[in-house]
Amino acid sequence: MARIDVRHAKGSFRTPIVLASGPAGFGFELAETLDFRSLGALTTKTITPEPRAGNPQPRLLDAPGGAINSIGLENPGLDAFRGNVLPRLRELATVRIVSLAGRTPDEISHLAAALETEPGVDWLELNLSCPNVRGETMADRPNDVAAYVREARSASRRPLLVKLPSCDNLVALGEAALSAGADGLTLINAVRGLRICVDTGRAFLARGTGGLCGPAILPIALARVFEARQAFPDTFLIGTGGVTRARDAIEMLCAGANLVGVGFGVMADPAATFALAAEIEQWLDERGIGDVADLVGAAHRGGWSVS
Amino acid sequence: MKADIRKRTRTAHTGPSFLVRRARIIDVRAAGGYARVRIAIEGLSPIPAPGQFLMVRLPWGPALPRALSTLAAGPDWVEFLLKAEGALRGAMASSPRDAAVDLRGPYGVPYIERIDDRRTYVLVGGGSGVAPLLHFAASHPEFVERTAFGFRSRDVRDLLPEVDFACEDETGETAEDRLSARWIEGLGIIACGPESLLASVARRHRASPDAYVSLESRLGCGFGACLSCSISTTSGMRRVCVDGPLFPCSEIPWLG
Repeated sequence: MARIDVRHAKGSFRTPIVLASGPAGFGFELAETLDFRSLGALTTKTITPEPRAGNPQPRLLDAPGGAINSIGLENPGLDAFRGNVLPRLRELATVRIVSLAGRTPDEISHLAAALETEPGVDWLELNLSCPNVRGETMADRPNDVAAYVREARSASRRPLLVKLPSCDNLVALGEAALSAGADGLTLINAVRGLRICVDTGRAFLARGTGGLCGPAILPIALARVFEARQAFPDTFLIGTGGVTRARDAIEMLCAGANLVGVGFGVMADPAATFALAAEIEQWLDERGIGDVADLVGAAHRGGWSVS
Repeated sequence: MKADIRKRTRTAHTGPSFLVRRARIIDVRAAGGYARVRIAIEGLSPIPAPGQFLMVRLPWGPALPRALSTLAAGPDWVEFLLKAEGALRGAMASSPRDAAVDLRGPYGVPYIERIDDRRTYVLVGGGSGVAPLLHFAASHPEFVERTAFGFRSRDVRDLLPEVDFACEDETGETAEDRLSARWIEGLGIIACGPESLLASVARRHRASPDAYVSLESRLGCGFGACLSCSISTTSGMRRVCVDGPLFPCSEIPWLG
C-alpha cells in the first residue's frame, strides 16, 4: 500500500487532502457523519478580532464551471471562537489550521498571540487574499505581506502558512512572506469574478464582484502552484483551487503542492471530498508508486517513470 | 395528536446525509411556465418532510447543486414543482424520461417542527413556492384552515388540477388578494413564494403571532457549513439551510 501521509518538520498530515478555509465552516456539520481521519487537515473559517456579519444576500451565484461566492468573512470573532468553537474543534480527528485575517498587522499580532497557548490550534494560515472584503487583508504589495507575516511570526511560534491570491507578482509576495518567517504558502484564493443580470443590466452581487471558485479555476491554480514550486523548490505548499476529483488532486501534487486544498468540492459533494485520499492511494497502488511524496513537483522533473 | 405528529417527525431524521444518490427522472409534465418533475430514487431515507429540500444536480448541469423543496415524497420517489427557467430547473423541465439526476439530502427543518402546534394556518403560496405548502397540507391537514395560492397563468391548472389557486391572467387576483380575503384574526400564516409576496406578508403580518415565511436564499452546501445562505435576524445571523427555511416574520425586520 502506498504511503499517502505527508511529512513536514513541524507536523505530519495523515493524507494530502485539506479542507480549504470557508466552505467547510468549522467542520462540525461534516463530522456528524464523515470520518475526518481521511483528511490531512481542516482549515477553519477565517477568524477576525471582532465578529463579522459578512456580506448581504445574495452570496452565491452560478458561474460556468463553478460559482461566485461573496461571503465576506462572516465569523464569530476571536472571543466566541475561543469560547465556543475551539473546544469542539479540539475533538476533530485531524490537524487544525486556523485561518486568520485582520485589518492591520497589529490585529494579526493580537489574533496570533491570543491563540498561542490554546490547545487545538495546530497551524495558522494568514488569509491575505480574500476577494470579498474591501480595502483590507488584501496584501498585494510585498512590503504589506511582509508586515503582516512579521507580526504573526513574532506573536506565535506555531507553524505559519500565508494564503496568497492568483496574481502576477505572486513570486514576489511569496518571497516576502517566506523571508518574514512563513513556513509555507497556500495558493490560491478564489479569483475575482463578476456576473451581471441581463434583465436589469446590474451586477447580481451587492459588492459587484465576488470570488470565482470551482473547476473553472483549476488550471489557474495549477499554473500558480507550478510557478511557486519553480521559484521555491523546498517550500511547503498547499495547492487550492477547483479540485473536486482525485485526478485534479494528483495534477495539483504534480504541479508542486505538498497538500491539496478542497473548497468548492465540499459544497458540491462533501462525501466525494472525503473519499479523495482513498482514491489517490488506489491510484498510486495501481501504478506501483510507493509514496504520494513522489508525485510532488513531478511536472517539474519531466514526470515520473513507472515500472 | 398534534404533539405526537411533531415527535414522530423529529425522530424520523437524525444527522445530515452527505451521500449523493443517482436517481432517474420518470415523469415530466410542463405547462404555464412550470413543470412537475417526478424522480425515482432507491432507498430515499429519511423521506423528505414538508419544508425540507434536496440538493439537486444534473450530470450536465451547473457545477453546484441547487436546493429544491419537495412537492411530495415517498420511500422511493420524490416530486418537485419547478418554474421552468434557469440552468437547472429549465433543463429538468425539458428532461427526457430516464434522465439521470443527482440528489443529496434531505436538509432543512420540517415546517411542523417550527410552527406553533396550538394554531391552525392559512397557507400562502405564489408560483413554485406552493410546492412545500401542498406537501405540508397533504401531510398535516389538521393544521391547515385555508389556502391562498396564486399563479400568473391559468395553464398551470393542467399541472395542479386538484388545487384551488388564483390566476392573475384570468381574474387579476393574486395570492396576496386571497390572503387579505381569507385571513382572520387568530389564524397563523405560512408563506412561501417570490420575495415580493413574502415581503408583503411580512409587512402586513409582522405583529401577528405565528406568521412565518419560508425563505429560499441561494444555498451552497445545504448543511450549514458554508454560510452562503446566512441572513440577519433579531437573534443574530442564521442559516436558512439548517435554521430555516421557515422563519417568523417578527425575526426578520428587513423583509418588507
